[in-house]
Amino acid sequence: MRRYNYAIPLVIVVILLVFTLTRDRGKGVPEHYDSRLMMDTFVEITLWGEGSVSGEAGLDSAFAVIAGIGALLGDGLMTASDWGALQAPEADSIMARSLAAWRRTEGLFDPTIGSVSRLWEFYPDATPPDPDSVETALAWVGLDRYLAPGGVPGGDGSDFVLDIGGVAKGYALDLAAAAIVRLGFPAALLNAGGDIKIIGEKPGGGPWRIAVRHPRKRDAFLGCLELRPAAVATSGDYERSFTYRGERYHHILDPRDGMPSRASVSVTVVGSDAGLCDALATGLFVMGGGEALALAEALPGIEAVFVFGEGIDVVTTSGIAGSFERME
Amino acid sequence: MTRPTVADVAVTLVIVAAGVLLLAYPAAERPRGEAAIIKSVSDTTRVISLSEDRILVVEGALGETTIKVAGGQLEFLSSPCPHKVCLGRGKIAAEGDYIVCVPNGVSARISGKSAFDAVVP
Repeated sequence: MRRYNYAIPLVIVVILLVFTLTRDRGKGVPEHYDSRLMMDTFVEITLWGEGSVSGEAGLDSAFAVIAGIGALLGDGLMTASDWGALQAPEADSIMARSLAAWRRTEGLFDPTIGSVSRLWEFYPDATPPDPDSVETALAWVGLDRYLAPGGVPGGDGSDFVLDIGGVAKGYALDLAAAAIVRLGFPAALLNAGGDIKIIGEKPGGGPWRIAVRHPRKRDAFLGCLELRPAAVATSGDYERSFTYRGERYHHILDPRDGMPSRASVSVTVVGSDAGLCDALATGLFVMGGGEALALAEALPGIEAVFVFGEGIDVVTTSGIAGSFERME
Repeated sequence: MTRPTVADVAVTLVIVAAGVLLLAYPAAERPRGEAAIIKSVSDTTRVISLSEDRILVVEGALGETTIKVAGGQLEFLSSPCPHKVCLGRGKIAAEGDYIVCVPNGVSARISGKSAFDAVVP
């Protein structure tokens, strides 16, 4: 008679044991979480481990940094004259990131789109602005003209309007993250409405797992990014939008025509600087297609996940292909 | 002990692979939460169970936001805010999902730890 083979159950038990032990590795690490409404966004911060202050004080410090940027910039729409009058190094840093993204996306992220942005409102019963007013406002869009000698307008009541809300939100996360590091906390995750900043190694080991929502199925995930410390920003056509006469209008505007861009469904950018990632996600979204993919491949330290078309075609840059797991 | 047969090895591999997949990969469907954290600018924070249907009134910066919990889902029923963006968010039930009313300073987040550290909304 053949004897029972113990090898099979033994292998299974060992594997399950290893999984159980590794899953519990991070459980003893103190975790501190809070959420607050700031910069017109739901901001969540989680700290892990011990710092030089209590977890509560660490959270307060990080939120205070974000609140400070919010107080400086208001809703993120600001005339160039008011912007020029700001005497704050943070303003220079935000403009530096905006300029970098503008150059890298060949002007498709343009912080001077504010004159058009302020015509649009995105809520359930909103309607698109009058095309003539969009056309008029477009005359004030174009960072190249702002940068040209004598290009800063004024005196006649007209002015460029900067829309730096997105970059400022990411930049605020960068600053808050730096404050958390200074306070000695070994790991943190900051999430401001989809702009994410990750510090340190995940308690318990392994990569940080960031789920990306399915752009057309609210209760489903598109996929999961497995990351080391990084910044992540997403521009999606589903975030802030309204439907008017059967057509959906969303908040990512093309600086060439002042209308919602139809070039992409969503773009998730991974890098190290949350402010820059936010701006690049917008520019790459407007660029769309193979051109955007090629650009993202060429940008040093930048990876991206693109979703194109109603068929939800998902394409990633080569550097992140192995870290993105498609879930649907 | 006899040497494992080809069938033994095949069965083992299938079971191990299935186990690894089940443990390592969460389902595409977002897991439903059991509780929600309601916060408002008036500094009140409430944790409520989603298993009990109820109507909740939360005082915000502009007035009262009415929140409905039914069938494990949460939605904002009424709000004094001008554009009703929060009402347009519909019903939420998945862990980590949230509805925010910026003008009235009220937020509701489905609590719970999913298999993810964060969700890009």
